[in-house]
Amino acid sequence: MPRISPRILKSVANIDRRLPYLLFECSGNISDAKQELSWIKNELQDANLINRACWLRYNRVPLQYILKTQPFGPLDLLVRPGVLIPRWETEEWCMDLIAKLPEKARQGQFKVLDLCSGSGCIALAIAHTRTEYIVKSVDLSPKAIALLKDNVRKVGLQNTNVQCIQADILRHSEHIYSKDKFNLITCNPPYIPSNNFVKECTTSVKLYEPRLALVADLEFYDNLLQYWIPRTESFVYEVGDMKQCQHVINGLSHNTSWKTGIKYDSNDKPRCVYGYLANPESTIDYVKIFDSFST
Amino acid sequence: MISKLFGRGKFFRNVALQVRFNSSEAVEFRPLHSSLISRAELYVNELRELEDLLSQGGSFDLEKQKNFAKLSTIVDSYSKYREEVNQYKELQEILELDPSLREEAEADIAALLPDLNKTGDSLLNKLLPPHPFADKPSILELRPGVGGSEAMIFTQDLLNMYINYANYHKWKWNLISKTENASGSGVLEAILNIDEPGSYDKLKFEAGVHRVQRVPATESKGRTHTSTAAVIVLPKMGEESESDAYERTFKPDEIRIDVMRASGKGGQHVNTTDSAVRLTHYPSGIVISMQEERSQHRNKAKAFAILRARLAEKERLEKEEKERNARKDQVSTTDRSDKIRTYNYPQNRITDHRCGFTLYDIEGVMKGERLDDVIDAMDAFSSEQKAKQLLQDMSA
Repeated sequence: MPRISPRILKSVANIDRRLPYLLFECSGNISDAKQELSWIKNELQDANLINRACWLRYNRVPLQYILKTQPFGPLDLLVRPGVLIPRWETEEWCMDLIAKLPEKARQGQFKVLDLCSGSGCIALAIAHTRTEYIVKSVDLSPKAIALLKDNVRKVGLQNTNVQCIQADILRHSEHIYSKDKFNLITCNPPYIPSNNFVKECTTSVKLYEPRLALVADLEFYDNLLQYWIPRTESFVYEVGDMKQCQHVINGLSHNTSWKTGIKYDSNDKPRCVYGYLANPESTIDYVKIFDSFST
Repeated sequence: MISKLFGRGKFFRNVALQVRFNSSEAVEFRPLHSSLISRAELYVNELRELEDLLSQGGSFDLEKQKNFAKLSTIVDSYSKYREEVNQYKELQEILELDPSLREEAEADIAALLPDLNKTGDSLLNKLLPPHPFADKPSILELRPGVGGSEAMIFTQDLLNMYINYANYHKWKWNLISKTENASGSGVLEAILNIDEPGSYDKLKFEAGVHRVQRVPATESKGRTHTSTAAVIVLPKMGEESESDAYERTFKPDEIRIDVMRASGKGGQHVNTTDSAVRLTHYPSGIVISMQEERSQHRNKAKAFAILRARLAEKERLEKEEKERNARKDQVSTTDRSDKIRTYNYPQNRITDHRCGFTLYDIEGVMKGERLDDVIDAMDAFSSEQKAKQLLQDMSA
């Protein structure tokens, strides 16, 4: 927690007496704190609720859990304790990817599988903007699945081709949608190695977000190489660092039919590793999709 | 489309009002310039061809439909004009030939003339080239000018005025962004989005520097201060998916998008609420910061919408500038003049400096109910200028 001088606390208290509570999570940035207060005021009408929200923020509860929603691309998703809050990095690459996906796929021609769905942000953003796609999703956590189902209703996709099941992909990959082959697999797996968890995560994340969605190292990338590569024509996996990217790229380097690449986020961090078949069975031009995705 | 054209008719009536006001006592018949008449004849022919095509069962696409609607309003008003001119001529003849009917004829002429001039003005306006963004929604940007915190308070007042104006017309609006000053009494910057097609056409004359003269709330000795606020009016261009002549897509090397540059690994490691985005457009040097939304993606979309609007407006101004230079004469302009309007509170007076229109009802204007009076006066002035220009261009 950064030290904030009493003088600053006093001066912001003069603007609004609730601002000092918000200042700590905004690491002392007054305009950020004001912005946060205006969001809280917008979403919560009652003065008591607003005061309570500021108190919770002082205790480092994520703003998204307090307001119970988080915008993701065109959608407003529900978020709840026990399920990871969608990050802006995920939103960024996901919206970039969607913009590149072919618009005119014939009904049911394009199948997407979203692993470790959590709130369902990636799956639902794709299903929302590409309505003729078949989108399936998997998560281990029952809380996540419950939230995902609520979100499907929230964004009005209950009558479409969106499916979700609860399963452990590290143990039963081969049994998940076992008859299907996919055009695209997306995944935002846990990628923080346990020995770095305490050191690299912010307090708020450590205290309030589920470890299940955060802590893992190479398990999910190994799982991709072993089980999912034979069942898909392309994939996009979010990563935490370069090592995980290299692991996937090295794992596919002997396989000449797969092309791989890395996508950086706006903060110049490696954020995604992706791969595709240059000569797929289907007629989809993955080269075109991923050529512009990487830049 | 048709309703839009009819909507335009509303201010043509006001044009007539204004003209009558100028030449108050002796109403005279002012025939339209012969070249304008021949231009109208051209439209009549064009409409006839289009109708022929229609009757032969030719294809009728959207473009033709728009053209048809446009032509028919022009031709309607032209035939009405011709009818009234004929009536006028007949009455004149009677006046000369039959002295016994003189009084009656004079009374008829007096009744006919205002209508005739009105029809003439309306026809003239329809013959003027329409504004390229006339049917667009608008984005208003407000910033305080000189005058310290009083200017910020006045900017807030102006913002309220436009919001009231939008409410008064039952237009949908939303604040894209608003930055308040430290004490919360005024604004440092506000961007208002009015989602009504055609609102740009109404509000385009609001662009410029607005001056206020009053005793500020912050003044302790009761002196009158003069402060200013700047208003920029932009046409809101369509979303990325729509295709239009003014739509533009940006090359990656023209655009730079900055987001919060955090140290650390980002991603799942942190959960930031900072969604601020800064957009830089290199060729024009425009920089737009946006932080109002909780999602970075939406901030980006808003920033792009504003960038598109600013570029379109810039392009239009440059084009007008070029046309003006090509004419090589000094035309009084309705844009870019520095001080456009004064709000004098002690005198309860609003004066528009471009058209010299004065209204003694500050409260009504600030409530948005009588802003239309000012706007209509300005509109009338502008179309008069344009008409003069058109006549000059045609006779040259």
